[in-house]
Amino acid sequence: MISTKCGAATDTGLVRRQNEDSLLAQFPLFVVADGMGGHAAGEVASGITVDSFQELLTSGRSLEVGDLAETIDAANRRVFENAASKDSRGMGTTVVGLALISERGQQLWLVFNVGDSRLYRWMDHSLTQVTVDHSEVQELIDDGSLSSNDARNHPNRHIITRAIGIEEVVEPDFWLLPAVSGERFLLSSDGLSSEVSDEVIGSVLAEEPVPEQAAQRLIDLALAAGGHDNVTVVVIDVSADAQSLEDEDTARGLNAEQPANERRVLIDHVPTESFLKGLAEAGDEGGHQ
Amino acid sequence: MSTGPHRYRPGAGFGIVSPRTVILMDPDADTGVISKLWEVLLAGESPNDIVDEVLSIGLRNLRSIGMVHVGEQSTHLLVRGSVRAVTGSPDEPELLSADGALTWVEQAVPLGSLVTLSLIDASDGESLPIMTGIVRADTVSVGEVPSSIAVGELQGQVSEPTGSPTRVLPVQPPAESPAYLPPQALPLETLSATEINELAEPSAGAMDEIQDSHEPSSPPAVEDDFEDLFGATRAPRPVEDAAVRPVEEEEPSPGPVSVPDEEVPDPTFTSPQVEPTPDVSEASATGSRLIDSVPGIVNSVRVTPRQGHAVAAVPASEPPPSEDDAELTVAKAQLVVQRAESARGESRSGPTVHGIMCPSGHPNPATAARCRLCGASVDPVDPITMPRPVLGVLRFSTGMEVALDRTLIVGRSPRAERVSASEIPHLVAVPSPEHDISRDHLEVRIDGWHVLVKDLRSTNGTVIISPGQPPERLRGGEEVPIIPGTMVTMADEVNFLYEVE
Repeated sequence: MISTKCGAATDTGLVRRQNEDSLLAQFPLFVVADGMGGHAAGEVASGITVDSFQELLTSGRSLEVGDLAETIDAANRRVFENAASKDSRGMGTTVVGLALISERGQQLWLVFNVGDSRLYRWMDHSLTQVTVDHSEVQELIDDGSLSSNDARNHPNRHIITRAIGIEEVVEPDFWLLPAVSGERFLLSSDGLSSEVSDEVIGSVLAEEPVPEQAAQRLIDLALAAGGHDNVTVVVIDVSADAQSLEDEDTARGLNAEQPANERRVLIDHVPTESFLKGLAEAGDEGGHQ
Repeated sequence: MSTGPHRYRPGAGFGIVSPRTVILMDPDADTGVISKLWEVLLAGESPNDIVDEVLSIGLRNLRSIGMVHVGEQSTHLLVRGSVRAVTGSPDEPELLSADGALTWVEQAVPLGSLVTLSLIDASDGESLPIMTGIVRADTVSVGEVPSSIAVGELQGQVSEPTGSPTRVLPVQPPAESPAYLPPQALPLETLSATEINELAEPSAGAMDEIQDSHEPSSPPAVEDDFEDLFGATRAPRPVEDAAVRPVEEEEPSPGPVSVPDEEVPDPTFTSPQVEPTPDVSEASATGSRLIDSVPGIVNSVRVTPRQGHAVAAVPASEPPPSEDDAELTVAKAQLVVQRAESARGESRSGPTVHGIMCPSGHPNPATAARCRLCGASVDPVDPITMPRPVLGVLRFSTGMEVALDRTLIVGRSPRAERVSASEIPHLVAVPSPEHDISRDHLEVRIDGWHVLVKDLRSTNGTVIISPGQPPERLRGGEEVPIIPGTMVTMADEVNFLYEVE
């Protein structure tokens, strides 16, 4: 059986007046939504979306693939109709989530994403960005015209190409991953990823064993780098009993070919506090020039 | 989930529905007659056969009947007694009624026409889809049959959106064309029985008078209803003006400006107020909320953001920073629209195939001579579009059985990467104590009526044995079709057999 320990934190940041992010961290479902739209509409959109997932948990039964797909559809419809009824044009939200589901007795992680909030996976000293942003910048990266390092400073970095509540139908991306003991997940809104590099995120996840402290450190780094946006972070540690799946390579050779859409950052040393501080300051300066 | 090409509205009458022919009879119809007509439909569906049957039953014993047959060149309508047919475009509905006719009234309309048969006292209500069968109904409507395509081109082909360029797809109007409506949606969803009655009212038994009812003098209620019809299927509202990044509003924009009540920010006024980096520890103490550990279900957390709670991180004497520099997320319009369009087709209706039914109603590929399930011989008829049936089952040496209703990834610890809702595969984890089977070892994909296997560049490979053939080792990454009876063995350790059922 899979169990989790989780830490979550959210912050308005230093520039925005309202926190339009919402989050849900309730085993077996973890969700971050980053709302958008004027006059608190973003807060409403992300709140509706997270509430939809919360309602899914009230039945108490184990989750299946279809439950999550339907909930995303339902949340999209509710936000869309809410926006139409209030004439709140532009009301919408991203959503990224991680749900433990069961299929034929297996326990699997179902990852879902709409927009540019992210799920990272930390395992074996390496950080993998699992989700792929639905953003204009990601499309530039995909066709090779932009490096992922330049993406954080790109002027169009906040233009997303899919969102909950903007159209009557939304097309989320899904991943199904085996649940593995010892893995650590990070859900975050773009208030983290646009302020803090993957290298720094990886080093915090490597260094901070307690999930809630890791979450708080990441928030602090985003604020130190300028805190231009709301920032929300959920860190989930996964543990399993002995009968659960292992994650070892195939015998007689490694067959691991890295999927093309994953970026891997190898962390082979544990950075010191001062190293992190330096990185954060560098990010702060770089972000404004 | 499955949506057939026809629809019916439950009622007291009888709807006899087959892929190309739909019959509606009144509540008094004799069940023996219904059974005979059903057998005729199953046997061949030729309209002449049905008329022959009607005549042998005797018109006296068959007071009311309506029939629609979708033929090779045109669609034929026949109504007698109290059954009426409505066809034509939404703007110009045409009523076919047998009022005053001694025998019946017949008409041919172009292929692809949407036709609704209804009883004279039909009530309004929700309509339901149907492929084949007998239902209690007072209204039945015939969907679009893709017979505008040569039969030979369709055989064995699929209409999945992901089809390869060589595949012949049914000709469909572009989804955004206002003239296009989902075939099953038109007649029943939008034309209520009351409106059919209204159409019929001025007729009083004569066809030319019915035509008059389509002149501007026709009841406005009907016109209004068709307005609603188009309203429901109009292009999604433009998103260009839905979500706009404030800093970009500086540029002259021809469209309406969104975020109307937000102050228009000055993009040049950015850095100063955020230069002094606030004390992070203070920010963390006052500005953010720390969530306690969540082991299992016990401690659960739902955080609703508190408004403005991080402003405390900024010294109170300074004016609060404006949102000029705020990083606002923006949704880009057209892309969302396009993707929504494609998502609509896939996730709502599921994959479809072209096929034919065997006499027992089992779905088969259009080229089948014998039913793949029961072995009965299948007469060649025009194929129809139908929801893809479950193609069979994979029986694993581990005892597991997995239905072939969607793609499978088989392996020691399989995963799926970035798929849409309709593409989420089954993950089939097979035990491999020595780790001979790779994490992602084999993909089993369904393409129309075909089952394809692909070794995912596994370490120790995959061997297939087709019935009567020598074993064949798959090349990594190469997709190979398998037929029922094929045995697939992964890393000499776990195998499965593909069976139809």
